[in-house]
Order: sequence, then C-alpha cells, then structure tokens
Amino acid sequence: MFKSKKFLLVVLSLILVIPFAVSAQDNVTITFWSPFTGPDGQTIEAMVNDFNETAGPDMGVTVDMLIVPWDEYYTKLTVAMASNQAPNLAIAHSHRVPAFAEEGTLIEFTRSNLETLNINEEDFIPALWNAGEYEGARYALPIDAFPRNIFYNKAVFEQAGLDPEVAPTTGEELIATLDAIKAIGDEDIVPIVISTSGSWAVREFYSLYMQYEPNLLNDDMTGVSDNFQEAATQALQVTTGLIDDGYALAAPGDWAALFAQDKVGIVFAQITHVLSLSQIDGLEFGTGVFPQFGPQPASFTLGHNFVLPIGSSQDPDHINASLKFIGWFGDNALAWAEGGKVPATFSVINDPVFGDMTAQAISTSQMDYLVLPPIIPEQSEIDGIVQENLEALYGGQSSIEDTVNRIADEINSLLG
Amino acid sequence: MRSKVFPYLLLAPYLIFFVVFLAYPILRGGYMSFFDWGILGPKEYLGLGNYIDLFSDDRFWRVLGNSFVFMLLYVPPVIIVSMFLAVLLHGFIPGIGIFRSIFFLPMVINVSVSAIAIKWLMDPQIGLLNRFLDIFGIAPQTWLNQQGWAMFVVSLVVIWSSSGFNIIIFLAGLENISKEIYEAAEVDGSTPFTTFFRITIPLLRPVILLVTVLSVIGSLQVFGEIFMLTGGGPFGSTTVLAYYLYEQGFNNFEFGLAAAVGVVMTGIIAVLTFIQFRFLGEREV
Repeated sequence: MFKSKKFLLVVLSLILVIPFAVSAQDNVTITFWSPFTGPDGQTIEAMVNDFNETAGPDMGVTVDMLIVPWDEYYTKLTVAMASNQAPNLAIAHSHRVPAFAEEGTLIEFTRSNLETLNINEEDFIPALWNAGEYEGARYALPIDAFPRNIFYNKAVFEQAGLDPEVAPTTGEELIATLDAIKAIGDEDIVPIVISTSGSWAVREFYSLYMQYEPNLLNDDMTGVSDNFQEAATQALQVTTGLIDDGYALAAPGDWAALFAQDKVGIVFAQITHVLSLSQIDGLEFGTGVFPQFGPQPASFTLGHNFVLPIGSSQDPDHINASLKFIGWFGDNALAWAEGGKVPATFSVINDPVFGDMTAQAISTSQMDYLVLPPIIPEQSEIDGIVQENLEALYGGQSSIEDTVNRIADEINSLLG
Repeated sequence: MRSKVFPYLLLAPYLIFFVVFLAYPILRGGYMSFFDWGILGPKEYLGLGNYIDLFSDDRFWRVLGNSFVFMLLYVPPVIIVSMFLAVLLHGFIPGIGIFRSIFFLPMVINVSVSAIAIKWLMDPQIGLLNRFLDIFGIAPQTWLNQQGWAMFVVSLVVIWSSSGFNIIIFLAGLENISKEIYEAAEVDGSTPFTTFFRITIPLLRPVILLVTVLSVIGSLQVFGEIFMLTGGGPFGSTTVLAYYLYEQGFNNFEFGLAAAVGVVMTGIIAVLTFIQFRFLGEREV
C-alpha cells in the first residue's frame, strides 16, 4: 500500500513537471540591443511587446530588449563583443557593418538562414541589400533606410505666398522658394537650415556630392574617386553659397525649436524626424525629397540592419530564435515604417497602407537612386575626416579648395 | 601571528581592487600596445610599430598640443578659483552650509545632464547667453562651433564642475592652519592681504601641490565634457588625448594604437607629476 502510494506520487509529480519542463526547453529568450530612444524607440518597444504577447509564445521565443542610447551604443556593443557578452541580436548602421565584419565579430547569415526566413533578395532595395554584404558573406539584414530629405514649414510657406502643398525639388526651385521666404521681411525667420557641424553636415555633403559624382572612392577603394575634387567643390559651393547669400545660418543651433516656432522655412534633415515633428502641437509641416542641384539624381541614405554578434550566448537555438523574430519583424514592417522610416522591402513600400503614410512615402520616390556609403571597414574614419574638414570650412578656418584637397589627401593617406 | 596577518586582511579589499581594476589593466594596456589588437584580441605582434605610427602621425601632435592648451586653460584658473572660494567659505558667514552645498553641487551632477543644459544655454539661436548678448547688440556666438571658443568653453565647464571637489580639499587644508598663527600675525599688524600671501599660501603649499597634481592629471584625462559638448570638434580643436584614444579604440577598432596612446598619456602624467613634486614639494615652510 505504502509503495503504491509512493509510486502514485512520483507519477503525479512527473505529470505536473513534464509540461513545464517541455515548455521551458522550447522557449528561448534572446537578448536584443536596440539604440532607438526617441519616437522610434517607442515604436520598437511596442513591437517587441506585441511580439512577446502574440507571436512569441507560439514560436517559443521571448525577446528581452535592452535600449542603449546611440551616443554610447557602439562603444558598449564593442566592449560586449570583446568580452564575449554580446547580445544575441543587435542593430547596426549599414556603414558600420563592414568594420564589425572585418573584426570577425558578426555571425554570417547563411543561405539556409535566409531560406528559413523565406527572404527574397529581389524584394529588397538593392543598395540596402548590398550594404549588408562584406567580402562575399552576408552579415546584416536591412530593416529600413532613412534618406536625407527636406521638411518645410507650411505656415512660413503661406506667409511667403507659396503653395503649402508643394515642396521644391530642384536647386532652382529651392532658391526661388528661399527668395520668397526672404521677401517676407521678417529677420527672425531663417529661410533654410543646413547642418554645418557633426555627422549631419557630412551626410548633407554626401547628398550633394553624389549628385555630381556617384562614387566617393575609386574602383579599387585605395583613394578618392578621380572626379572627387571637382564634385566636392561643386557640392560645397552649394552649401557655402546658401550661407553666403543669407539663406542659411553658419551655426543653426537647435533647428527643431525654431522650426516648431514657425521661424524656419525649410530644413535639410532626414525622414526619422517625421514622428517627433508630428508630435509638436500646432506645427504644420510637409516633407519633400532632397533637392537636385547636380546633373544626376542621387539620394544619400543610411539604413539600419539586424546583425547577429558573436558571443557566449549564441548557439543554434538562439540564432534560430533570432531569425524567427527577424522574420516576424519583416512581416510587421509597416509598424516600423510608421515610426519614421522607409521600409527596406518593395513589398512593404508597395503596400497601400504605407502609401497612406504621406511623409514616408514621399521618400520612396528616391528609391531608384539611393546611394549608400562605400562598403569598407574604414568608412567611419572617412566620415571623421570629412566632418573635421567641413567644420573647418563652415567655421571660416579653411577655403573650399583647401578643404577639398585636405579631405582627398587624408582619405588617400588612410586607404593608400 | 594574528597581529601580522590582521593588517593585511584590512588592506586586502583595497589591494584586490587595486590589482584587478588598476594594476592589471595598466599592465595589460602596456602589453596591448605592442600588438595590432582588434575587438577580439591580438592579430599581429608589431613591436614598437604602434608607437612609431603614433609619433609619425601629425594628428597625434595636434591632439597633444590641444591637451596642453586645455591644461593651461584649466589648471591655473581652477586652482585660483577653488582657493579663493575656499578662503571665502572658511570664514563664518550666515548660511555658509548653503554656499558650500551650492559650490559642491556641480560635482554631483552627471556630465551628460550638465552638458545638455550648457548646450541649450549656449545655443546660437535659442540660448540664454546669446539672448543676453543680443540686448547689447552683440551678434549670436557659436561658442561650441568656433575653433577659438570651443576649448575655452569646455575648460570653463570643467572648472565649474570640478572646483567643488578642490574647494573641499582647500577647506580641509585651511582647517589645519592654527588660528594662533593668524592671531599672532594680527597682533603684529599684518594686513589681510599680507596674511593671505605670507601665511595662508605658504602653509597651504602641500594642499596646493596636491590640487595641482590632481588637476593636471584630470586635465589630461578629460573626456566626458568633450564627448558630450563638442565631439572633439570643431576641426579637431577639442580633440584631446583621452578623446583621441577613444576614437582609435572604439571608432577605428585600433585597440593596440589606443593602448599606445594610453601608455604615452601615463608617461606624460608621470613626468609632469614628478616635476611638480620636485619643484613644488621640496621646500619646507
């Protein structure tokens, strides 16, 4: 009697424990580092929560997201990689991927991974797709693009007698628009804000430069392109011309505050700001493509990607779980686009729901001529060289000619 | 037996901390500086290659120059301001505790928080400072984007944020000066000016040495304010050694070169500290 009771207890215990054991074994928790902190931070947090509450349990995947602000994101990610403590899944800018790949810190997305995800290469914007590959291996899966574009203040446009629904698309149209804003005669209104320092100044320079010369570097990536000096000079003549002619400020400061107060007509910015500007009460603004000054249309963009960092927590189960989340994210990319991004795939871009996102959809008209930075590990250093010299130019410490020559010399010295 | 072991037990927590977080990283940094060292570890032994690259890089010399410019803009003013404020706070005035707290407050404010506030304060369009200058018809200044101004502004911010700590050290030094000496000087007809220069400063010499050494070391290690306020710009004019080290390591993944910068920094700090002890610390008062 006693023995049978004991046996019954053991059986009952097993019955109670086994389902939990199976559940614990099936469910995989992945760590995911996200650098998004603004409105797009709220978007990704909502998406991760949605995944964990809906699809995640069915897939047996839980995403444990850690938000690390941009300022310190790459520093912390690098330290985590060096100490073998990197997350299972992370976000990386397209121009950062080659350097991480060169260091051997990223796990390759194999052909089999891509098949598991049911990824169709043809569906991706080619420039974004290509940027995720380094030396023949795929290390990143693009999730979006954020090309340079313009935001214009509709109240200022109306004051200037301009159509508030039409944005300038060429250099001539832009100057005519700025002249109209200037003609309002209000000294507190700045016709246009361009960036004269920091990484945004570099991105605006590339946006203009690539309209004159699509390649920053020569074919074998050992120095600047043959046409660099001429194209860079023309690009910088545009930006310095805007300052010298009184359209733009040499040091714009906090443009968003001025824009919100209807004190700025047009801003060179990027589509990522669409959500934060939308949240400002009473601000009426429109978006437009980056105006074409040069002979060929080109729109400089950066993009965000999913990457799989190496680390002690990576194993086939965790990689597989990350792939499941990436797949779900791709299926729900419209939610991400709402946060102020241009989707990486044509299937989402062509979705009527995305077409209704007016601000983001305008940027997609630039899809055919998106240009990304060169796919080389030294790109961050090149950006640093360009930034330092542009700041010297806009700070009145250097002429256009000296700036261009110095940029060329320093890049050639770095890559040569 | 117990008496021999007990002191070591008391020292053990600090010694463990020292070895793990200071001695080992310093030695490891020195070791790394002889390698081409990436994120995942050593790639190739270079011998003195990183040092040769460093010393043949024009940018390194500019950065070194910037570090010394910062040191000159920071160290003398922070010592003078801290000592002056400490002397004022040493007296008995109503609300002394409040004043002491106010001067120490910047020390406990996070660099990121103070940097954001200062950026707003100095914004060329909406900044309070430029709005104030506008009253006198002075055009807005781009304090953090002008080569001449940026380093000056950064040094002011670091003086503001670090003087509270120095004030406390000076106050401790002032407490140690016997009141009888001041009373004797007063009886002999010494003016406050003479008392300050003939009694206070000479008797504070060890404290001045300490503050000077700490300030010089701090000035060569300044990073947070530059990272948050200028990012090393404009035109690299605020890129100092610590920021350059960060760039080499975390932007370019050249950890061996970054370690070499660290070793050079350590060497410079050691030499400057030796010089200060040699020339400021020897004379007996």
